[in-house]
Amino acid sequence: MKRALTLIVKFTWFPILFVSLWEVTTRIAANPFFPAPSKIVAATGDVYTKEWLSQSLVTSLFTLFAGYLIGSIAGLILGAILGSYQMLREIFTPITNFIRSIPSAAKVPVIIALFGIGLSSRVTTVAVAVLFPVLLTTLRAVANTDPNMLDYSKLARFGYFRSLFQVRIPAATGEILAGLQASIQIAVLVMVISEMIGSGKGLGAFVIRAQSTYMITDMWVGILTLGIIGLLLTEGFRLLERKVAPWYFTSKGLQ
Amino acid sequence: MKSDQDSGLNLVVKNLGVSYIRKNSNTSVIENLSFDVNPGEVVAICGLSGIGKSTLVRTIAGLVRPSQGEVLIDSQVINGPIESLGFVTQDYSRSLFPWLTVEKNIALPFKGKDISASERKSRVQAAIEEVGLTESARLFPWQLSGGMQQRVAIARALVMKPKFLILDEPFASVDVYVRLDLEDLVSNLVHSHGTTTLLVTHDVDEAIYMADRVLVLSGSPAQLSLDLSVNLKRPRVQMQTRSDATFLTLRDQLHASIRS
Amino acid sequence: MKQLSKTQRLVAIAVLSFLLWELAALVVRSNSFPHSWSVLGNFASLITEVSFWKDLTLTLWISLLGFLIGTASALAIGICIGLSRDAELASRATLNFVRVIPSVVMLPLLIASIGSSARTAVILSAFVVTFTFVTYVVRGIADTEKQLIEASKLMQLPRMVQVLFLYLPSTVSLLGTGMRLCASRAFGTVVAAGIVAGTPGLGSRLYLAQANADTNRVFSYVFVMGITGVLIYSSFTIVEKRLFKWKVSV
Repeated sequence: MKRALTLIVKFTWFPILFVSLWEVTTRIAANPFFPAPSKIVAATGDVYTKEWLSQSLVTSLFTLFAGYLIGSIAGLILGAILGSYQMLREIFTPITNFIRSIPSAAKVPVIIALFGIGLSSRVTTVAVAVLFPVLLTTLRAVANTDPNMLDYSKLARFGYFRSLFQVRIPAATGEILAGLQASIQIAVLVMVISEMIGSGKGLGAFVIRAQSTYMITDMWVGILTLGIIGLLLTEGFRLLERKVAPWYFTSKGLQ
Repeated sequence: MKSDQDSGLNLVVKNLGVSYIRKNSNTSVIENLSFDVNPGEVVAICGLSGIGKSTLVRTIAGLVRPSQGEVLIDSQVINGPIESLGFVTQDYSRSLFPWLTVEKNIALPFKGKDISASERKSRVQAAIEEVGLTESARLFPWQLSGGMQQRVAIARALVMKPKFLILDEPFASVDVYVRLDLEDLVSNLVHSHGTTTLLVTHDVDEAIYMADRVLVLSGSPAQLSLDLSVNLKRPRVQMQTRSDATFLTLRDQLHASIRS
Repeated sequence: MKQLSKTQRLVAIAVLSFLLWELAALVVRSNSFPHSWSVLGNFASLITEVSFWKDLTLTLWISLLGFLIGTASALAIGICIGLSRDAELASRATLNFVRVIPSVVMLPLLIASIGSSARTAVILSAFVVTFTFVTYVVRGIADTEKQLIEASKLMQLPRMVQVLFLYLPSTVSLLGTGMRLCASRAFGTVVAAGIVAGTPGLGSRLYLAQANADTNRVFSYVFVMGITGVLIYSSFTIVEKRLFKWKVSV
């Protein structure tokens, strides 16, 4: 009990100190761009109800989830297929690598140029940005299956699909999950950018509009909302992957 | 051949107890253990694996805090690593710095100590020669065989001219012929320097061959179950000594004690 | 399965990229998706323009600056945090939170407070790099081989010597990976700042091309950025292989 308490103190003293310092300095400095955190929190309720932040939140979350799902599923399937044939792998790895090397932000104008600024275009942007990193990690992970396991599946005369689903993919779970997790951040980033340029919808647009109309507190509420979304998604994913692939964590002693 | 200078330090272990806290319960590894080691003596500690031999020597080295009793080296209470102590572990591959060459690994203990550059250089050189690594001084540890790596670890422990040396299963992971060579190498080195030495080993033959005295730990928490003097003349010669009648008697005695 | 020779592979890659591109152009509304040859023509004319090279150099300079400032401060912060368990616990929540905030949402704040100059992009990329890299430093220090820590305690090495000869070298292989990622992120962030905030460089050029519906130009810029990204990534890989020879067998 006492140990749990000291642990909590050890975890929280710095964030508390940090926020308090932030509060004090912003009150003393009174810089219009840095409102005190207490003021931001106090304004949150109003911003969500009176302004259209809640609506923006729904739009953004939809874009994010739809885009992420489409992109990651497509990436997983393509990666699994391309990864299990050496010839396809050799040809597609450089192409995928090249597309992945394009900064995710730069993919946004391309999609806008092709599909406009509507909701489906924004979903496409997120999907495209997620697709390539997921594809590449899956491809690599599936290609690097432990040769002993492959020998086993050959000896057991597994067919292509059986070997893919029972050997290659399970063996690659760790890396695939890591790739999926890293893509969450990319998805959030791309979603925000696609909303910021032109669309007028979603959290990104909200933050930009708040800034250009000097509603600085509103802007901060938007920024913190995005931070919390990022945090919840990343942490949520961590919980989920422990449920989905517990063997990975116990076998690596990461528990 | 025992040296006349006898520069080794003496060790006193008094009512020593060591316990670990694991999930809020106290597990006692060692309890009420007392023994002395005289200056220049080579003492082997034997016992089944997991009995607490490593914990004992790690406590003596100051890496683990005792829960009761105390360890004195040269009448000083130990509560942290001291400069006059050398330590060689079984995991040589993990205790050598992979990014430093053999030479630099051996010179590492000098960092931050007040010793002149020329002195450092000559002592590193001497240590390298003593363990027979002259050819490999500029290689990295991972370019050497297991036995050679262990020589580096030994040289690194000896370069500070320790007056007290602890060897924790030093030869357990090298193959048998290399092991015999290393046993002779270390025996000769500690005797020529008169270093007090504690040798942890699960190999009874090695213990008898190298030590002046063998202690046996047994039970849980571990206690001293046998303190046996080895009256074999030095210098000892591997195959000859090992077939000596005294050797064989000691060996039977030790085996019996460890198993009991 | 048959092995492909190097030339066969290159030809296959080129042909396939071409086919995939034209297929995409067919599927997507054909008037806005440019043909590969018209983009190639545009690309050729782009790289003869002096202003393009100026933009490219500027973007790279800004990225480099952000990268250097970011990694240096992350190294300082990370060593302080990594060497103390209490500091690591205390900062964990804060670091995790800041790291997942998408960097570009800071842009409105930066524009509002300091405008949208090259400095804005430097600050943002330095910020992103700091928070990305600090995790690598902390993790690297936490993963330091226990036996080596023990050995250095037994040798009674002073703290500074431990940092220089133990913790830093042992984090180095992880730092290599982290640096490679951070270099890409620094570049990506500068591009993003250009697109969103109009800070000078390739990013704002790309945004302008899109705003003018000059799709050929959009693709040309994206092409340039892809090449730059690949070059940054592979140059770091080469440096890493040269520097950390000992890593191979650890």
